[in-house]
Amino acid sequence: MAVLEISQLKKSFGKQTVLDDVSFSVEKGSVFGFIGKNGAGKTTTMNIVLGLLRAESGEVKVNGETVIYGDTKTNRFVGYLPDVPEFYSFLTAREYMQLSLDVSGTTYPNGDQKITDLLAMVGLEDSKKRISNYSRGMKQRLGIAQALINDPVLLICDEPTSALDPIGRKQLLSVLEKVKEKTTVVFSTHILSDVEAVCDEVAILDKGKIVTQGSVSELKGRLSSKRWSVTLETLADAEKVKEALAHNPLFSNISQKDSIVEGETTEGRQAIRSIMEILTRLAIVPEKIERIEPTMEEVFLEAIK
Amino acid sequence: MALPDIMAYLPIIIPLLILQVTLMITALLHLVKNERLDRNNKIVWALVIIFVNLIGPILYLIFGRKED
Amino acid sequence: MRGTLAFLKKELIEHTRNYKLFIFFIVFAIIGILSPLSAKFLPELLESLMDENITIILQEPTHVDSWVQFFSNVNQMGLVVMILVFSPLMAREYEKGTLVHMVTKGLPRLSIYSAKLAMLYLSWTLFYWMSALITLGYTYYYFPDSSTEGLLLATVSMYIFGLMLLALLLLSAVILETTFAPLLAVGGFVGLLFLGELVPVIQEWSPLQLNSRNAQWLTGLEPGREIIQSFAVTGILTVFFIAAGAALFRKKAIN
Repeated sequence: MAVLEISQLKKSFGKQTVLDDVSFSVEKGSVFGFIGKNGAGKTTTMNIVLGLLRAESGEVKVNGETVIYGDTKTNRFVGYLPDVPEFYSFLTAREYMQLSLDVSGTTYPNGDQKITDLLAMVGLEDSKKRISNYSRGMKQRLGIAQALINDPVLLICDEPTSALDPIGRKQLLSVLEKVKEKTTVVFSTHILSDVEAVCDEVAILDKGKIVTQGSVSELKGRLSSKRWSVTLETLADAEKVKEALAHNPLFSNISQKDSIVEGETTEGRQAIRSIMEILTRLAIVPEKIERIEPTMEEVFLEAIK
Repeated sequence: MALPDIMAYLPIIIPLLILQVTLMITALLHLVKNERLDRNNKIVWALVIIFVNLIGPILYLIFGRKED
Repeated sequence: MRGTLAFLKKELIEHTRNYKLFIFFIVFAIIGILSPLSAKFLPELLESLMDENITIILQEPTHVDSWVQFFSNVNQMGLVVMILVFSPLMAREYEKGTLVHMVTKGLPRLSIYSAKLAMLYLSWTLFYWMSALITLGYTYYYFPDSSTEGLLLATVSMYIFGLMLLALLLLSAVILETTFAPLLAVGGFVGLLFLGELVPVIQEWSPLQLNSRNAQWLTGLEPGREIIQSFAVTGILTVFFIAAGAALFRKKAIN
């Protein structure tokens, strides 16, 4: 079942079109990466999903219910972490969590325990300080705790890792992994290594349009050019192999570095087969033949070409 | 003014003084502990709080705290 | 309801911790004390300062003078301080984006709006009547033969006038989004009311009667038709300000 369905969303600010016919859906139980450059329209999309912005046309459904601008009913299914979260600075973390719990309308047999558990998960359980004295990392951690207070079906994070140091990032990603068991996570980012670390599905947004969507491995498989490399025993072998491959139209961008020959191709499986045939014909035994796994970065760059 | 007159005003003047002093001390205590102001600012505010009766401490508590 | 109360509790904690309620308490308590004091004390002070040879006839002050002082102090200090302090009430939230968390947790806009309005009205009600009670007490102490004739109408009309200004403050705070623009809007509105005094027809219906004619009721003047008109106009304006603010806030972009 789709937890989030977005269809034909359009939005512009003045003459500038920010979202142009954006459609995608997020299935239950996945971590969904929403990727795009700064200014691609990620935050705008999220704000529309949260009912904070009005869309010009199109429809958004959360957990099967249509989102209506200015009406916050669907937000009971949602937890939200903005990129730079700001909280009431005169409250302590516990007081803030209590406020969040009360305004969300959620009831637990033991609300205090729920707050303690969430604060413990993000490592703020014994902070008696007011939020005005918090560091950025502490605020981000509180942000996750407060977003999860209503046990949301859908957790939306806007660039959750971009303001954090490497340790903070690692902590946050591992929290998202934990959350995934109960909650579907959508997070927007431009940090592609984070996507590879936690995402199951991704959609790539560019200039207000969804340019590609699918599971991470699917997108990599769909990549038009695939990289390969052959490691030979000697430099002379490498020269010969390079020479032979260069005559085959299947291969492009061939380069040689020491005894390694590398290049691109459009047909991954066919390319490896041809390389093996050529090696057999030349009677050369390679150390290693490899299809190089494409990175998210290549997927992304190709998608926004 | 004669002394009995002053005695007659004590029940109203004493609470008034207590209120003003409470306000001034509250503002001064906050000022001393305020880490968001530098030394020069603190001295200026201290003078305002002490010498501008009533308005001084209120101005500090509204605009000078730099907390929110 | 739970959300509204929780948000109101947040407002109360906020205004306690940032000294706003403390300031109101001090200011309104001082108004309560100062009004009878200056009514009683100023004529005597003037007399003692006068040259022996010049005799001026100063009327013996009465409880009416004490209330005249009270209403003028509430107008010039009490309401000004309250509107000044509450002016950033929405701007702070808009600027920092703190409402986003509340709204995205499913707290209805109307709950936020009503909690804000409740905060304004609770403060005004509590501190205005506290101040009036202090003045009442001291007025009885220093002017033992004072009567309470017309006192209810005088104090209630000022109270209602305050309710209207605070409703306008919240409406302008919702629209204008900046710290002190709401203060200017309320000031501008009061300025317009004063201009209206020049036209007799407007004067007859003007809410301004509620905050300028208070002392007249104490001297035994019978309230006429105009005061009922004034109450009606003020009531209608107050309801209009509250409803308009709520409607606009429901459609406000928060992010």
